[in-house]
Amino acid sequence: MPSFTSSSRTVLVTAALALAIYAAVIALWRPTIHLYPDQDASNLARAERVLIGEGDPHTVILGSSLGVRIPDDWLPAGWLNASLGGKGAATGLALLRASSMRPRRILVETNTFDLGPDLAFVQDAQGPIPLALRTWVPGLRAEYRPINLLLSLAGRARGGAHAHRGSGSLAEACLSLQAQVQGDIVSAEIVGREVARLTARPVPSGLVARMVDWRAALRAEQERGVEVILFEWPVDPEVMRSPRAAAIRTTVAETLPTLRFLRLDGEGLATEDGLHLAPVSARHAACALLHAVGG
Amino acid sequence: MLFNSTVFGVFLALVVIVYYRPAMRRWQVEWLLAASLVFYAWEQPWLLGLLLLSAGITSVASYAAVTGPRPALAATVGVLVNLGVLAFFKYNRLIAESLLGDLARIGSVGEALLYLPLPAGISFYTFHGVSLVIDSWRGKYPRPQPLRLLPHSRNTLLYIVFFPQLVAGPIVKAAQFMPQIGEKRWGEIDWRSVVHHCVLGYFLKTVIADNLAQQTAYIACPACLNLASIDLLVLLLAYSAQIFADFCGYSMIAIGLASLLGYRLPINFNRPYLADSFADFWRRWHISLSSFLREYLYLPLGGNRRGRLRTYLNLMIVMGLGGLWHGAAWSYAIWGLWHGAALALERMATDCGFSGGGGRVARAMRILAVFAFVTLGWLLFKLPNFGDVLQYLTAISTNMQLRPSALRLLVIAAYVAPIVIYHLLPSSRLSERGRQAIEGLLLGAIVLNSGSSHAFIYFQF
Repeated sequence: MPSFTSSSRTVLVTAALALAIYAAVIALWRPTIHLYPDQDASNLARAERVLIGEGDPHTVILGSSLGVRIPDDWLPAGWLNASLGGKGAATGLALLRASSMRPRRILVETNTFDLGPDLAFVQDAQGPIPLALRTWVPGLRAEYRPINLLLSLAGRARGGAHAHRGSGSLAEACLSLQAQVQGDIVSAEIVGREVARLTARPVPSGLVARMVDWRAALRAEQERGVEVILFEWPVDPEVMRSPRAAAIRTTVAETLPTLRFLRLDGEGLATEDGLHLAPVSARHAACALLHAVGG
Repeated sequence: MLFNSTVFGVFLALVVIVYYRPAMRRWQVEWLLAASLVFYAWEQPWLLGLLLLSAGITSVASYAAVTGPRPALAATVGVLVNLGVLAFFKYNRLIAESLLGDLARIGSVGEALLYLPLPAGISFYTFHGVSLVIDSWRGKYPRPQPLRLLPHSRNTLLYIVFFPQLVAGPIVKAAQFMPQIGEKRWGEIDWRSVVHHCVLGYFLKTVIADNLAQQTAYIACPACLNLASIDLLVLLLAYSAQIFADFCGYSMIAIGLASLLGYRLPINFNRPYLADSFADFWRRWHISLSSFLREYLYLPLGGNRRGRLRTYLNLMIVMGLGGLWHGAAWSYAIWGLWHGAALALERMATDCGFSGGGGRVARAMRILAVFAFVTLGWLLFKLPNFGDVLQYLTAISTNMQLRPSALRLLVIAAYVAPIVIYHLLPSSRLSERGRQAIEGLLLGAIVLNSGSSHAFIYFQF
């Protein structure tokens, strides 16, 4: 029988070499990753950014897939978008608490305030490769998975909705966006069907209890010197008026009356499915948020 | 415990270190038994009782089938009890729903029985039980003389609970496994098999199947109504690749782990999507199940020895039951009959002298046709609700005007490409060094690009 050494030497040497070369390339290049193959990959990369806290961001956005639509290059330096698809702001806050990062300000999305923290995800995001190793070897990070790199390179070459905003300032980009307000192409049939489904969703049970949790959590953040701002992403006007959205909005206003609560103007913006903003509209919303918060 | 979990890595290291200690040599089988029971009981300890009961009945029935005064009766009882256990735990709800319609009429006790959880691996370990009872009765493997109940029970238990193949196979026939039970030495480990099967298996599972699972999660209705026709078709293709990578990956890991413990398990897949006929497909896909069904069901039904019509009927029966074996829903039976009908029609065409042509182009067309047919059939696996299947197919035909997602197409192409290469470039064509270098790259990919851990698809069966 072949020994362990003869059977695996080339396997192990090749694997070690491949990992070393990849890690070196990523460390030297540090490409910008802006496309992920799926929600899970995007969530893991965003969670990792929070847990590692590289660059010491001063403002962190906590939210759901609604905020995932905002491209990173449409946010100012020092801002970190920790919106997580399929989860709510509570999971982002749990990640923030698990990390050593201490931002000066957190922007908390209220659209999904009824969702509790996904603690299993917070646990998963911390492994299987130890965070300390990922901090020092960026090539091992979830963000720099080869598939993410491949997609980001392809997306950059293709342009369109995935194009980088260009080399000018963010303020200029926001101004130039005004001319493209009708730039989104969406399917009216899909939007109509999804709006009908979304407006029929019931008011979440246990909303008041969830708000009590939120109040305690946000007060703790404030006591640590963090400025807390609540905001609501614009969605389809009918969905905005639905009983569910209205109930969340009212409960937030009643439970957290002292916090600043921004409601972004959704006039003229398009969604792809009643909920998620189309690419140009998402950039508009990002600009509106920046304007409302004040940079 | 999942093969792709950290806790399994620790468990395996502990098992192997103790297993090969010289002082443990006499107790290797007992140690493997203990490890396998811990493996099985890790998440659902309350199901251990059923596993032990099933193994106990199999042990006594197979012993009686060899030494008892009425071997045929003992074998029959053993087979019926195993199938009865499977029917009760797996098909109770389906039978009750089909017969009674309204489950509320059953009452609280009956209802409680219907909601019993499906014990993990029950489809596999009851088939092992059936195989042992029949192979014992047929005298298909050499047994120690005289056969003693206690060592026989110990060996039976190991055959049924051996952890690499306990939950999702491969289905090993008793005649293949029982003669292998005995003392194993560290120096006799086939390391090439261990490394090859484990690296390839984990690559297929963690890099391909787990990542494709994120895409194929969109094969769901009514969400399917919002996707373009091309997206829906490409997602089906992705599911075809995912289910192969998931199950072939599991089987390879099982073979590699068994090799590490000194046991040989049969291969379960042989580049199935290169099959140029439906019969060929079933010689390449889930080979251990096909072989089991052939030996213990198709041949006893008469196989092809009772005339053409009976042969076609036998094929339909075997595949229909094979479909139901996968899951307790009528869509699985339809999936089985879908394949049964294809096999019967193919057989009919052959019987009528239709060969389908022998040239390369004709073979390529046949491969494509079989692949398309098989891939369409997987929809019944992914969407057990038959109404959803129809809705999905309707959406394919109506959503032509929607724009497909270039991102999705690129991601799926990236993950399907290794499956295509695996099929077109068999490792036997590579030099030993080249093969090891590729395995090294795959190992690197496992570290860098594994998807989030998902349970193996076949665990649900």
